[in-house]
Amino acid sequence: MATTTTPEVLDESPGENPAEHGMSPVTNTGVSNEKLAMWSFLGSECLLFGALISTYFLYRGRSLTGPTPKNIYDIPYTSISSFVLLMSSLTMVLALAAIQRGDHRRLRLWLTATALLGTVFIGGQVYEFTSFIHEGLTMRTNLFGSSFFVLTGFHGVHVTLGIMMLLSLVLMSARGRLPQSKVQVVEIIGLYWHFVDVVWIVIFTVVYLIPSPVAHSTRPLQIR
Amino acid sequence: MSDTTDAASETPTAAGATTLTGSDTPAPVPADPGERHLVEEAVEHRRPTPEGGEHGAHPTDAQYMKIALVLAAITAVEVAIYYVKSDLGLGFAPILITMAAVKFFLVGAFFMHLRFDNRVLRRFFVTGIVLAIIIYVIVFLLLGVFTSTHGAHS
Repeated sequence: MATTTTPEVLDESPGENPAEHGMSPVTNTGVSNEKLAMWSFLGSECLLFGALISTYFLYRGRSLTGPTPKNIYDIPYTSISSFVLLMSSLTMVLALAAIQRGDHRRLRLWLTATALLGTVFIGGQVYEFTSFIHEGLTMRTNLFGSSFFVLTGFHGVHVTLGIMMLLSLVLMSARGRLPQSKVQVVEIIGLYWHFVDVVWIVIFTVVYLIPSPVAHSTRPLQIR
Repeated sequence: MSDTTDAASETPTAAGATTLTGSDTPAPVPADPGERHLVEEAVEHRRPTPEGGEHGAHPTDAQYMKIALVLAAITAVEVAIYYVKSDLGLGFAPILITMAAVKFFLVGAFFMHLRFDNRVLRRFFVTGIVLAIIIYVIVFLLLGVFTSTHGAHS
């Protein structure tokens, strides 16, 4: 066996960045560091939202005073909001497919549509929060209010940050600063957007559709 | 996808090979055809792959729309189940959780391309999910959430 066999050989010019050509750079993992960083960030976000959802779950049916979920949720309204956010994932992935084809006009169209759908979702959340406050539910009212506003508020902040990133992409593309070689930028922001969507899938089911227990417990939570 | 064609057009040749160790000196090419084949095979193994193309091409726009239709249909069924839950007894919560899990999987696998991307990425995400589930199930067990007394400890 020859000792000259070197697996590290490649026909790359020195200093050339494969990521700029839509290719993954040569790393130990075989994927770009930026993409790996986003996925590890999303993995850590699972723990953050897991904590918030668990807290909501722990406090279910433990509020001493109303309003409670049963008499305050508007399921048809939230269902439409959920549908809007779900469809924004479709427009996001269509935007990514557009830049992969080099179709910048459709890229801007789908990115704008995604940002618009996200804005509709956030507008709906602001309306929902306002109506809840008018009905007497604030963060200080009871355990339900505290855990509900913190959980959905954190998610809303994530959606808002996503909208800002999407609009930045639209501006970059309009100024010609988002060539097809930077497809990975769109892909990474798309991953963040889809993650926000999957978190809402869980929130919609666990928080809105599965009701609190009828019998309320007033006993404190204690470590067994 | 267009990036796939870009990758295909950059077939490596041993003659033009350079090292990745910071030096642009061409690597020695074995004279023996058998050994040269080994070098070319190693080069092919280490080539940059187009993002998302490791295990196959991404879905087409039409396929994405079909997936979105399925997601919308599942959401509609979820809401319908919410309204008929009294007829389903206690079984409606697992049904809703299963449907949410299916939606989660569809978005993750197809829209986030986990089904097509490098499996390292999938492991990072799945590790986060599994870790979160384990940690918070332990917390629930410690606080007695799954017992009938719901945290009572006297």
